[in-house]
Amino acid sequence: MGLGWVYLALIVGLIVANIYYVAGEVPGKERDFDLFSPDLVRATWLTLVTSTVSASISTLIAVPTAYALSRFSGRTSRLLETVFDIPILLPPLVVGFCLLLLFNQLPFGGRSIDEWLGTPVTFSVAAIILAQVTIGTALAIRSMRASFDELDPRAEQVAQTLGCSPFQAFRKVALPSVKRGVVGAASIAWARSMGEFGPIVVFAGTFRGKTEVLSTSVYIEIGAGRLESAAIVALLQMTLAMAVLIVVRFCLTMEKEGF
Amino acid sequence: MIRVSGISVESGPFRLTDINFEVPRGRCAGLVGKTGSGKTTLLEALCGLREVSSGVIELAEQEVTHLTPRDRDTGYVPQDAALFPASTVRQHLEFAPKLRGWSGAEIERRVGELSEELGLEALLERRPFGLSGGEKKRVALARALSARPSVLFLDEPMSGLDPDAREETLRYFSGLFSKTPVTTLWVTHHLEELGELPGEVWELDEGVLSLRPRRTSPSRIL
Repeated sequence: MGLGWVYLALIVGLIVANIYYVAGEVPGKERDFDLFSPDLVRATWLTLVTSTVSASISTLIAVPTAYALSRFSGRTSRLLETVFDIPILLPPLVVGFCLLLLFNQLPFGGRSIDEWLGTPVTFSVAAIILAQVTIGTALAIRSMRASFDELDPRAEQVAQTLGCSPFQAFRKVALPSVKRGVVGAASIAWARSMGEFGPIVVFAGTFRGKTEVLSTSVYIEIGAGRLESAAIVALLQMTLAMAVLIVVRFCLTMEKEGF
Repeated sequence: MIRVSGISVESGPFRLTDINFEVPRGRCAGLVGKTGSGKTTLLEALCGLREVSSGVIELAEQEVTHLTPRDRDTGYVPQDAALFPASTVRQHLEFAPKLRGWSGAEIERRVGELSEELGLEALLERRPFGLSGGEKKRVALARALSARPSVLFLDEPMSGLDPDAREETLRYFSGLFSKTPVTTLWVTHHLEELGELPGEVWELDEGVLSLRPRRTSPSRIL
């Protein structure tokens, strides 16, 4: 537990350092940051919208996939599980680079996917979502898998003897039993999408007013030497993420206590 | 009626071979055997949860050997009750009737009957978490019987209960069965549980089934 306290101190330190830089008297700090500039407002909205869309897609993919992995154990299942872990194991920048190659370079009938689509995915808002989904889904699958593993499959078997098809047993028995796990997996995917940076920079780019999200805003501001702006954007991102996660946890607690 | 003719079931290295027995309509037969003798495997095969490699299974005068579990019209009470964690007791009792498209009034009447007969009235709005072992078994039995199945399979329904809970649960079970006899196969590894059953008792030993000689006396349980 001692090391746990050290880790806790580190996290608090990260937050305090950020707040201090924004609110404190730091020599040489510029004071011309506009929190309501159109670029920042757009980046904030784009972050919230893409994270929410990505988390929804990730959860929709993760729930049935994790259920299948949990219930059908075998060589194929183990192999698939390893494949689904690849986006977590790879450096995020590499994931973005591979997405770029997949959509831009890999030929399908002589043309890349972007060429087939007509409207290129690369360097667009769709690329942000795709980059977020690629990694968020892998995390959501891991989280959901743990929830389904804890659930005794016997209850679903009994449901089948009572008149359910296997799908109905999943929908009527397994899914309601892992409701908290679904919310947990969605939160993880959302938080990860919110903070995603590496694959977005490579695959969607950092075009101000087009594909700029809060994580890339921080990168742009640091690159331009505007540290206070970077600190304020970081604080904004931190506040949004914590607010959403606190609300989710509060809802879960209320639900557990029967409200 | 339960009629099993020459079925074989494989479960990894374990095999049940050429199993034959019959339970007449409305009777309750016991199936005893040591832990690991294949009782649950056999029960799962009868419920359709496990494929049989050969033989024929007939339930209520209908061949069901290759039917899915949902099409066999059975009630199944597994050893651990396997209640649905997110459902209230009432939802457990409504589950099968709703799937069969019963009307709201019919479902309400059936929930009332079962909860009264099995002493579940005060538990209807509770979820499985926090129910005692005996209460869980009674809910599992009520759920299995809710849509009035043709046959009932009980897998060690008294296991894990202390003597008082066992006595209480047996009392509820016997009251219910005496009112509405249903063809039942009662699996256990405690022969004394079946001491006063009116039906036959079969013994499963290392994959081989044999009729076990036993005294027959008027039913206390059924």
